[in-house]
Amino acid sequence: MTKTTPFARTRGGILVAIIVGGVIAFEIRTVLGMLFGIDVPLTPYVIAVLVVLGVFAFLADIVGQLPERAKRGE
Amino acid sequence: MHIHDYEKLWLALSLIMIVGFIATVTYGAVGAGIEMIDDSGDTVDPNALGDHPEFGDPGVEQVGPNEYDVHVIARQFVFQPDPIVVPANSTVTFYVTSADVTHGFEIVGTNANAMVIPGEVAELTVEVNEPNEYGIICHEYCGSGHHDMEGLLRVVPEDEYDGGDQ
Amino acid sequence: MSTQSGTPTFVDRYPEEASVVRQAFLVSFVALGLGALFGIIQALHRTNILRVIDSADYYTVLTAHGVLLVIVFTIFFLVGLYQWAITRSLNRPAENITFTRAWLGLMSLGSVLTGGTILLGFFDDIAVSADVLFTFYAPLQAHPLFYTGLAVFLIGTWLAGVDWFRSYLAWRRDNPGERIPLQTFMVLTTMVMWYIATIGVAVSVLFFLLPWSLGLIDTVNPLLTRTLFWFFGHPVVYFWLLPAYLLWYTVLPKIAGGRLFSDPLARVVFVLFVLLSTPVGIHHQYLDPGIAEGFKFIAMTNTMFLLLPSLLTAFTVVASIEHGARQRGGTGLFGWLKALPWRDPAFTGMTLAGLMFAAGGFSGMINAGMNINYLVHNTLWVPGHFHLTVGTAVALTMMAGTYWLWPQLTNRPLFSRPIALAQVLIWFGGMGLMSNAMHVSGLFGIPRRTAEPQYEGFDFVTSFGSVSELNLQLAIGGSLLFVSTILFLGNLALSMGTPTRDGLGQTLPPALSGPTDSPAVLDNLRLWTVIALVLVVLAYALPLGSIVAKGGLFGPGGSPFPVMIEPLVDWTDPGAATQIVRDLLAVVP
Repeated sequence: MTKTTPFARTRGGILVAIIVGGVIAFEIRTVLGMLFGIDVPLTPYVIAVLVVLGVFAFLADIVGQLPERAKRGE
Repeated sequence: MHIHDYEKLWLALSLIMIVGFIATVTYGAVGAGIEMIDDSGDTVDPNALGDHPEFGDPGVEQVGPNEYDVHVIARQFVFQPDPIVVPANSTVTFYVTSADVTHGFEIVGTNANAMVIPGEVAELTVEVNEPNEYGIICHEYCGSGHHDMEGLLRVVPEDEYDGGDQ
Repeated sequence: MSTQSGTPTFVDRYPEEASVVRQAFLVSFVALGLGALFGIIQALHRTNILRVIDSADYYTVLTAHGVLLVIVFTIFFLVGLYQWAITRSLNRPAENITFTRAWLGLMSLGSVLTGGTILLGFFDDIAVSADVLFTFYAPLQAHPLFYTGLAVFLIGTWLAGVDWFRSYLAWRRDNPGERIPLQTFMVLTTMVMWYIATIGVAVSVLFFLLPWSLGLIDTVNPLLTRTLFWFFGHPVVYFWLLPAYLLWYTVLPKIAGGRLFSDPLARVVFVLFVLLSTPVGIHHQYLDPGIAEGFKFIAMTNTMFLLLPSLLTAFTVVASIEHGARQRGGTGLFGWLKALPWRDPAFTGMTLAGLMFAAGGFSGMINAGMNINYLVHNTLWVPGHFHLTVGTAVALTMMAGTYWLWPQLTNRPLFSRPIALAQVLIWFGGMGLMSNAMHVSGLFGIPRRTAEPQYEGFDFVTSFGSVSELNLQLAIGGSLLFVSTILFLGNLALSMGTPTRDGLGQTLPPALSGPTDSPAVLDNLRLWTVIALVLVVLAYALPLGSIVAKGGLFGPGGSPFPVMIEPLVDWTDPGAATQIVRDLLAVVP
């Protein structure tokens, strides 16, 4: 199903964005550790990343559905 | 042949980056003076290391003020000698060969790293600083006991070093 | 994914060639499954999370994982893909389909011989094994059938090249003066590179390792055979990569909704690989004694320039995808990304593979940095690098390409598109985790190719996190990859049962900037072959000569380990052969 959103057009696109964003976020922790010596504790960081990605996915999905919902008169 | 302007820019940037990489490696070679292991070591007979003047008695030997030579034999599945003891603040040259198959020689946590090939001698000179202990591992598969193959490099304070094997 | 109803599929037009392609793919995927199984065993074993085998057997597993995945999986996929590509782009069937089946059969025979000797290493009762890893460095010695299988397999690939050159020359007789179609050009240049590359390993195996394992010669020069292996060992990675490039250049633009940005640049890229793939092999031997620093420096500069064709590919592929996105209505500086068909597993798989390849390319450049190599050689960094390149850029592209191509080979649609999309995303995420852990572990000094990288006399020191955290990360990543492989194979297996239907045919549009825009010299394969050979001679004549002069052709030796069989006289004793069969029957229930 295609819908216009600020973030993504399709659910497939949202999914890809989440996975790519997740990997990039993970790599940032490595860069902080190797280049700057900052030890970011793993568990809190992973939970935080998952929360952020989940919120993004939720917003992209819901916000994307608003025009359609308006059209259907909800 | 029509090349898009962005593509020409990309090509130019790519070539600059490539030349830049070569420059950094060249700096490492001639500026920072990091030499690669090369063919200056002699060939040896891996089946007759016991008869070799240096490898016949592997170990640490002082060859100058603060200069030491270490002859190391890698064999399934040990390094000889073990541990290797050298004094702090010295220049140490490792000569490493194998008595049987191809091994690796890595001083963990440093950039001292070599391949150990039977018949050839890997020559590697390092600067040794404060007292410390380093693990030495074999990182090239050499048989069923490969994962047990480890050694130790002990850098002791100069006044504690009393020469020869310890 | 748009279909043009009425376009006949590849299997409609060329049923026999499609059959060959399917067979090649099936062998490839069986090897993938087995290789993946061994991979998860390794990932759990070396991280000390779950050990179900003896550590001594780990090396049998590792040999099988390497050979099955980078020799059988990748190269069988290549020959299937290339048979499709050349048949399709020349628009003519194989010159002699029996000859085609014959080389495929030879490759299969070779794989069975080599694979069989490796797997027999699990059975201690049977005196056949090949625990020598994918690189089979002497004085480690495998059973003679291991080397024989490799030789037979190689000959099969050489004959595949002969087959394809025959097709091209027959087409040329009918089409004088025309530019070589792009996919055919890619096939032919890849094979030129392969013929040059396999010289090294063929000499090593046929003149040294095979006779040595049979007892015909006493000793081999380990540095010489190792150097001859790496003569081959670097260009083989391009043999794996170029099929992925063929898909990225000729199929991915279409799937993205557009056309290839530039045909001439694609040809330039493939020519650069012909020229530069082989004279760089010594960069795998930066820390070897017996090779002068000057030769290592030359290998380094050649390798740095080898980055160029991949950078050009990045530009062209991204430009082609952007073109496709704008055709689909995408606008804006980055907004066009949203217009791409992310729901299509073939598109997403190939694009994510390309993205991961960028990372892999840069970690490769660090490996190439001669003196920097001291920090990473033989550490777990190196597998981290190549799981990004062959493990993702190549393997994931091959899987994604299969989702696109398989319906055209069978007239059956894919069983489940959502599962396929999940599969490629799980692969990308799993590989991101695992490869990250490998790179970081390597920088802390943890070695590769080691069953138990836990040592008694010292601990590895980390600058952040911990070794157990890295191990856990590696194991989780590896597990995700295994799950992803199961999803791929399962989806494909179930696709064999979907009902056939019409309308699955696909055409490939011509490039925006076509072959006629490029200088004709690019198609001059003879010229590029000669230049490539000159570069190889320049890179290798002196180092090889020096190795032989100092150590001798057969070397001072080093004792073979393990010694597999007694000299030739015993081996030809029929009693020995029947004893092996008896041992096999005793073990196999």
